[in-house]
Amino acid sequence: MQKYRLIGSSKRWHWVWAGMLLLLLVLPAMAQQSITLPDTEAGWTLAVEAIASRKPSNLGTLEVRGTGDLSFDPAAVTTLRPDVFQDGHFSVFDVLVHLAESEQIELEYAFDEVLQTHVIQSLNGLEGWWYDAHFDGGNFDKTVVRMDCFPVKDDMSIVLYLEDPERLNAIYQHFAAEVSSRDPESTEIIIPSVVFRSATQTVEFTNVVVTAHDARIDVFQPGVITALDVLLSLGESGALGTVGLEWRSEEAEIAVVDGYYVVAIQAGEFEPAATGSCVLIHQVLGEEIEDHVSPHTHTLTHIHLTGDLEVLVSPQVVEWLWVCL
Amino acid sequence: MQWIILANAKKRKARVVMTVAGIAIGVATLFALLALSAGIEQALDREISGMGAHILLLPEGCPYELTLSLMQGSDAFEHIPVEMLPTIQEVANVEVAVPVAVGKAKVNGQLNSIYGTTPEILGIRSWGIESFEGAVVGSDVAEKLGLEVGDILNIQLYSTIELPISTILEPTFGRDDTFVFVPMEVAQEVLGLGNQLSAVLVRTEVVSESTQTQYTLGRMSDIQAVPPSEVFDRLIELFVSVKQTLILITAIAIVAGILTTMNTMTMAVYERKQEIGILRALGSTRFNVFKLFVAESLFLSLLGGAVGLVGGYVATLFLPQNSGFGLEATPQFSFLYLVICLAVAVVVGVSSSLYPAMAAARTQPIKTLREL
Repeated sequence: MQKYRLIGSSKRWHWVWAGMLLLLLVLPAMAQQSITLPDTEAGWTLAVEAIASRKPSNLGTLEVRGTGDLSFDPAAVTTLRPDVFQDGHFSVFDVLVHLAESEQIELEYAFDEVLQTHVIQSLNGLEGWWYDAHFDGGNFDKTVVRMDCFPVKDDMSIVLYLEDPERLNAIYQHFAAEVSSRDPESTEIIIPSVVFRSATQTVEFTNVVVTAHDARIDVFQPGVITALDVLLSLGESGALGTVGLEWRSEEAEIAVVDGYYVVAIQAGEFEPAATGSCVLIHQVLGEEIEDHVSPHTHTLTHIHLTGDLEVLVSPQVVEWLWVCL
Repeated sequence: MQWIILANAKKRKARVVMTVAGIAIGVATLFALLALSAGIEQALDREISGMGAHILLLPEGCPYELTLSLMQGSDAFEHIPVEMLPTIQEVANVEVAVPVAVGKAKVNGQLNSIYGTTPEILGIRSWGIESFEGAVVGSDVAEKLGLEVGDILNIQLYSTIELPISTILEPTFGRDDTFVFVPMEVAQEVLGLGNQLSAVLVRTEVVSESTQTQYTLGRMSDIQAVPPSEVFDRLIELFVSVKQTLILITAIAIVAGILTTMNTMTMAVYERKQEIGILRALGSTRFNVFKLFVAESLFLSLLGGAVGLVGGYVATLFLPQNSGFGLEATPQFSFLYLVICLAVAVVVGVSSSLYPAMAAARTQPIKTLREL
């Protein structure tokens, strides 16, 4: 008589079950990890070993308006900014260059010393291009981030389009103003105004000296200053009491987040209460672009372009807004 | 009484001017705020109701930003696949579903919003025309570019298309005046949209059942169904928070006006103690003295109010004529605002004169005559 055994009931399956149980317990913890700064030992420094970020690996698409969706393989993309990105990471502009190299588009570009970024001179014979991009779960947001500094993740949306010359000019003027206010020899930047806002409170710090804390050297090269460094530098200077961060690797239906959310902050009397799911979102502003960005109160894309992934050159204003969903 | 007030005003011209200016600033701010707020609310109402839709079908994303983009005629980069249109049209209670594709393109060399749609648009817009062929041009664009019916428009962005103008619309005093309406295929080709739409405007057969229709449409994947009234309420909500800040600033200006007038009147009482003593000695009652100072204060306040009204009106002519939502908003004037502003001026006058007038009324004639 033939004996039937339930699959998975043998002894060797016990190890598999145990492994799966362990994964079930460990995975949620990896997906979300809370950190309160300052740390008793590391102070305002974040240990990069504690996070497990991913390099882009899935086949991606980029829409060139008037041409359509173009596919790229992240493994084939190399960066034009090895001074900014670590090996395996790259920017929106790098994707564009890769598409040109694979003859899907015609691209003429150059590195503009005045703007300290790569600019499109012509794409498919047309001039005046700009882009918008958002990570999975976000929305297009009138981005004003340098195209060769916007990091690419899996499942993100990118669109290249012909921009209103007035807005494009304003963006370039903003970049030029940033470059002119930065000392190229210095490893620090000075931001004239850093503002924190909640529904009831506003606090401003002026002439904030910001240095790199290398919180994301998994993505960026050491020394690259990000918006998160503004908080870490303010913390080091004693202006902030505490900052609560959460490392999110995924969220709801978003497979790849891989970024730090700022979920608590205390700066003197500025200590917004968490009513629901709250985060501190940032926006880089400047006189030249104030009419050309989405209203900060009305956009949530910055949750997805988290502060640790936005490279700063030397902005005039960095505004942090406490939003509760 | 009048000649005493006028004589005093003539004697202390500089102080009168400064007091009147203080009150005028508060009243002017209030008048401008009321006129501009009404203009913004009217502009939003006009634009949203002017769409002619009972339900807006939008792509995924922030519905308010998408609606504003639609009203402003700019591409929001989020789109609805055109293949969804037949399914939308088949939903019960949908009378007409008008596809829309908007964006900015060069029209005869100048950047302008183009609005791609189908002849069904005539069913929801009150343009007074019977056919939608070629390009239908808004009155402002026609004036700006010097266009006439029969002219050939050169529309260019990702591709170039030439199109004859079939109609120049009568002024609607809304955003339609600033658009160039073109057939859907033309807009999609010029704007590089492929088979995508910016929005679908839905008009329902039975308006009272729109909520159920909205619910059904909203359950379709990749789109959201929003009633225009909800967008209007939300945008007004956003505006109200700004308005509250402006009201606070106006209130501060008015309180400053009250304090300025109070200071002027208190100084006047102090300086005119002897004059008050003589008046009292000649038989004026305490109430007469009290009335004199209240009337003087009222005179200054009403003068300030009148100057403020003129100043506020002039200010509205020079302030930006937009709603903050990228829509044109002409200030709206009403007799009610005039009454409110003058009432505020009266309140300023009376409240600021009470203390000085009571102090003046308490003046003892014998004591002041002794000091002569």
